[in-house]
Amino acid sequence: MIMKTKRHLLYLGLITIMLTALSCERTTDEYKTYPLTVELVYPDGYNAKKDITVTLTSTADSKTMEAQTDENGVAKFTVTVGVYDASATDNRTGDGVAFVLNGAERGIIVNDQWTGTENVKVRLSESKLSQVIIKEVYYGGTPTDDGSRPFAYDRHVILYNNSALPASLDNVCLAITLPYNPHATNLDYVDGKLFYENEGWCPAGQAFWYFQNPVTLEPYSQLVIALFNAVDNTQTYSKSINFANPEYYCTYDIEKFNHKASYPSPSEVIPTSHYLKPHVYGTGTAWVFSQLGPAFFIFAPEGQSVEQFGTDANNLDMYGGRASQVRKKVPVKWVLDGVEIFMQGADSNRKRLNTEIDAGYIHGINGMGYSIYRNVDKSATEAIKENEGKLIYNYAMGTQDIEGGTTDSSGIDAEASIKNGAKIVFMDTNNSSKDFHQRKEASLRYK
Amino acid sequence: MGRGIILQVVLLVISGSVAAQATFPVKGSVVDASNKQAIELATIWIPELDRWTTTDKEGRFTINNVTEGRYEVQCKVLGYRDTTFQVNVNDKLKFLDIALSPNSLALPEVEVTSKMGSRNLATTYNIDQTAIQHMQLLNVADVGSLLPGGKSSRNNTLNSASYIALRSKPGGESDNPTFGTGVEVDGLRLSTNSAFSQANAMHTYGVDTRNIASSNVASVEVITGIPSVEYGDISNGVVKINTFQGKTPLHFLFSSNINSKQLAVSKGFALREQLGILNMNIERAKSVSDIASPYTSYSRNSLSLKYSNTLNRENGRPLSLVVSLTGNVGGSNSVNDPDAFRDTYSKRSDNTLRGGIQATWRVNTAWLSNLTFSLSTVLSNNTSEQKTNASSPVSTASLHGKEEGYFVATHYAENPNAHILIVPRGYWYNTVYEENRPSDLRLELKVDLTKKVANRVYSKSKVGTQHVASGNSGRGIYYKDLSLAPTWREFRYSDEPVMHNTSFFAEEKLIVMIHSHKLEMIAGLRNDFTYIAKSEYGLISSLSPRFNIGFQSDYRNDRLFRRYSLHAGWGKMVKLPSFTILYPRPSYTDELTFAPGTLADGTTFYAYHTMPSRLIYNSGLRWQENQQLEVGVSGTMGKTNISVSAFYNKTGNPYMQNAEYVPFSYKFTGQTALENSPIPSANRRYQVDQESGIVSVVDRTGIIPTYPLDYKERTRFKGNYYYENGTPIHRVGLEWVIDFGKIKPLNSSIRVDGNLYHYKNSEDRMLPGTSGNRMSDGNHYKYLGFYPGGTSVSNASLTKECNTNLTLVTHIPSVRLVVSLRVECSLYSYSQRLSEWHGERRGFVLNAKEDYFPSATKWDIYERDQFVGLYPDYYVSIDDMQTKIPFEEAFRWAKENDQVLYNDLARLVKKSNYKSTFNPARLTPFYSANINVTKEIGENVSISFYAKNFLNNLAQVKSTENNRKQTLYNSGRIPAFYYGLTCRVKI
Repeated sequence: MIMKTKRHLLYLGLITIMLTALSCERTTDEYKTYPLTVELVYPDGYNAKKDITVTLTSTADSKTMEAQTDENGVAKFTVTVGVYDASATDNRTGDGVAFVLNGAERGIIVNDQWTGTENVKVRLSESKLSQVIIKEVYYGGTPTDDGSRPFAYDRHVILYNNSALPASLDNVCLAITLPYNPHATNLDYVDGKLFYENEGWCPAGQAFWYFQNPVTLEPYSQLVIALFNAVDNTQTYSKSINFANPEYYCTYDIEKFNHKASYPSPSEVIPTSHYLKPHVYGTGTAWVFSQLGPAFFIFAPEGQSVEQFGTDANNLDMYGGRASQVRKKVPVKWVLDGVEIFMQGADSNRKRLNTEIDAGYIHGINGMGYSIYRNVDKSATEAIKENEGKLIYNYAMGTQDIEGGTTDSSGIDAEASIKNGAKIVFMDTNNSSKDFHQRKEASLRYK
Repeated sequence: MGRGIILQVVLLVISGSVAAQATFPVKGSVVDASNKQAIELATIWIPELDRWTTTDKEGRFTINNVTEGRYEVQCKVLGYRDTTFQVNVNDKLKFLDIALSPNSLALPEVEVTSKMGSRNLATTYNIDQTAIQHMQLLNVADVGSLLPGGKSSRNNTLNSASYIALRSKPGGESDNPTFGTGVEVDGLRLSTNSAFSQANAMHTYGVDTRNIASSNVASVEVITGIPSVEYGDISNGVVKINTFQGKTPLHFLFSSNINSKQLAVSKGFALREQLGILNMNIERAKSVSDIASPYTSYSRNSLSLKYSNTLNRENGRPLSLVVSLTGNVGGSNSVNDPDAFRDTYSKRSDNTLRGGIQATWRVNTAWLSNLTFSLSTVLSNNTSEQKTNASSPVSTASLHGKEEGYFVATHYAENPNAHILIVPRGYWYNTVYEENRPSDLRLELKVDLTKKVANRVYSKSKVGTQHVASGNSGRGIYYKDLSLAPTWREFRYSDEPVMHNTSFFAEEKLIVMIHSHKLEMIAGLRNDFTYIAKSEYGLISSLSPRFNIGFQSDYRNDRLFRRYSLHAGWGKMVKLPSFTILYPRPSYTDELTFAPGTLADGTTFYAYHTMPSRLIYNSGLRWQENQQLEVGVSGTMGKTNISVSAFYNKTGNPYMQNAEYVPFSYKFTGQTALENSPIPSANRRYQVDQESGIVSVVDRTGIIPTYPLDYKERTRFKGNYYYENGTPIHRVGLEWVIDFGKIKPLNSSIRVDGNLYHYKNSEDRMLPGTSGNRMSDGNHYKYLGFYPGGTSVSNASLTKECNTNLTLVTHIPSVRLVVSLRVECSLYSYSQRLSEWHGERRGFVLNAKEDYFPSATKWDIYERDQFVGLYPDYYVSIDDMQTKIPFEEAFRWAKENDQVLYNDLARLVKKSNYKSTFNPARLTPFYSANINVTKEIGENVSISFYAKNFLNNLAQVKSTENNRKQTLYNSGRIPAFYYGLTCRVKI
């Protein structure tokens, strides 16, 4: 009996030693670090600049690291094994026009073969900053009162005039990329790059919407566009949105998109002049606006009318060659703003927006009532004299407490401040990793 | 249709008189070889003369007046191994002592695979009880895996429907091969003719075999060749399932695999005083679709009773009587699934009652040998019930009316029978039922005469008639609470007329004995008359002639080919249409014509224009038919048996749906018409004129007079559908089975079986198509293109396959063990999409996917990796449907001269979805290996175990279509690693 017990103890000891050895070995590997140097490569006419922030994001857990460039545009990191995305934004001004230089290098694989002797080059490209920006995207749906699956027809976007001058929305169009979802196989990648980036266009899938009447957006003001169900949804879903507001706009043309659940007749208080109209070139009974992670952008045609652009058969592209998945080639220089939303928890997210439009991405969780909301440009906002005493701080609507969540590091509560009479300047670096965070609930629910 | 064709009874006239020949009785007894006890009700049969009888209580039998000659005699009875021997009938014939060995693995020979034969000169596969037990049949459809080149089912549970498709592939072929396969249980035909298919009108599936109790299956005979004219309403062969008939001990069966459990009890009772035998089988089988959440399940609860007896045995004119009754209560059910939202569920019953009586009387006169009468009925109940939750922040409109015209939504409380009902906002549940109760009543009378017409020449004549009445007494789809139901229109299945089919058939078989060889010829003709009351189809006649010829050598040990045989046949078979095809449910085009803004209480008074359409009657529709030619060769070379069969199969007049487009106008009243209305929205009531569609606003207070709203006229195409006969489908195949015989030192035998299969379909009709997009001016699309071969760039397909299976069977009688290892190999799998029009290539190569014009340098659409476009031959405008405008010419002109027309016509250009669309898809070979073990423990217990894909093959296959590799895991190409165990006990 004693012998048997001894033998068991011996086995147990051996197993413990083996497990310890294995776990030690793994631990060593996990925490081994490697140097990673990022070099910003500027377009012709621009010189490298010191103290530009380079962000390195781990694709596994979305954790970020930042480092500043030296005078040669080089930033140094020390990382563990993993896959990283590097991005940088350099704001410049000249001749009274603001420009942003954006760049990103994705899928940098650091493994035990990594030597770190060569710089990772991030090529920056120039893009304009716009007066009209996307302030908020609410796309993932709202929890229902009976616990059934989330209500998904209260998706909406909010446009914002981020300047001190009135902005015209006459030619502004709303579009979403195709593929609609970020985590599905993306057939647009050729040799690891979006093929249309070299061709200078961005795909607008299925249809785009435009304002049927002239609209002017006053400085630092917003325009709400209900993408579906432009009615008071809160009577049934208490956590949803009440769109029965004469100030609001909606995407509604029941003759072209007639999906019953998506397009009930808008609230009678919304004037019909506030209905955006679609140019439809794809198929389907409703506009496809991803509930998992849209890549949404706004554009304004130049040199031709919205009508001409919408009906032209020569600017069409078939996604993956599929005749059923038609999209318009929107020249990148027409794009005013865009936001790339990734699906939290999916490891197959891939960028759809061109780097010039959005050099980054923001993760979102659907079905919880969260929205993607723009960060406040703290210095620009505080620089506005009228804002003195009107800004509310201690912003608490971020989702930093949730795994993968984010918040606005400016600390300014934009909605409370606006209600207090402040004028908010939002961050606009054409890099949604810096410009956006995930908010606990839609700003329209702020009372 | 409606052509009246008079049945031309073809009977070969046997000329010449037959010299009177001496006759003798064949007498004997049948005993159990193990204990020498008499066996009652064993069948003794002389096939050449079609003379038969059964043994009495003492095991004795007598067949009187057998003409002098040498005959094959067969003796069979349930539970014993069949025996066949030669007998010289003459004055020296002695009393035959037949000893039958009880079926067991202790016998030197057992069959655990299908046995290829040519009964009645048609290629046939027989699967006996040992093979069925060894494979642990849970679903009868799985016997298909035992056919040459057959693959083990990927469907391991009973949770999804299972069908049998012979000499075809069950999915993806355009003439519904499962629907054309006849399935019979004890001669009782199962049919889905009168079932309504909700899901896909084009795909009427065949018999779902899940409700057949597999524990009661004694043997299965699969006729893939040209069957006798007795078999009608088929196009792809017949599967004959035979249940247990005869005295048996009490059997218990328990079977279990990862998802399923099966429990069965059966016994064959010998009733006292020679009152016959009553077989009983009770089975319960249950499958869950997901073992992690075992709440959604399919269950089978079956009770089978079968009474059999032979009366009037003593005077040489026996009457065989079989009465059977089978009931099954079961189906799928998710009521208790905790993963579903609370109180939601779906269930579907699979209840059936099958009953039949068959009497065969050995009349034994000079002009009549046997008279067979059968009456059977199959009643099914496939009612489904689904409870779902719903919610909406606004009121919704539910359309229920069937009338044409404009209607405005109404509250249920105001008018429950309104054309459009308002479902208020909030949360609610819907319970929807689909009551589908197909039934068949079948009556058959058949007489046959077998006689010796000359020295060594035998004739077997057969004449018969069948009548089948198929109907459906189901209510169709309906909702528990109409006030909350979504858009739905009542369509009662029971209102559709019964389909009657009366058929007459005649067949003559000649057997000529040449020395010890045998030459056989069969000629038969069947004429089906189909009558559908109150139907425009009227009386439809269809002829099915069939011919078979065969030669069988004698058996000699002193030559290389000890035995050889040849058979060939040609035949035509007609498949009757299903109710889904005959009575398609009416469709309704509901166009939203008015949608005033939603009120604060969430209510909106929508108005719709409804246009009902029923399928257009096609006077030229002909019944789908199948012509088959087959040649078979088999022989025994040494110990090796070789059987090869080749076939050519052409499905003519396949049922296809087509659309006829007609212009359709309606009035649309936009919301802008309501702006500045003098009547406050809370006081408004909307009226719409049913005919004119003009919307008027009524002041509920009566202060402001009613006034009409402005509208816009809209015109669009509306499709009306009809069935027509499509382009023939061709199949060619070769099947082989090579049994190498037993290697005695190893107690093992090797079998190789396989098939070559070639399938091609095409589309030669000129078909219309329009675009779902709008015109450049925002109006409905107004052009209609006519495309040669249809609107799809790929309108045909080609499939080629080579499958080979290797089976190693090790049978050790001394320990009552049999182990079979089967390797299923897919050696060649090829498919390609084609674009054809009357045998010529159509379409053109595009240089880039965005292009609309043919490449100037590339012509071959089948060159790798290129996009292909297709133009309509011509198009018409909704404004002038008569003027046909050549498309390409107009499109090229518009490109240079009219940008708007060009943009609009571009929508008629069809393009392939992928550049790989026309690439040939050839897969690298792949395999899967199964192992089955059966062990008998003593006389009373046997245990079987199986493991499918037991090597857990997770390899990758590469397709030449896109040069990508894909894993076999979960691919549907081979089964997943799976195992099960069955225990049988007899007392």
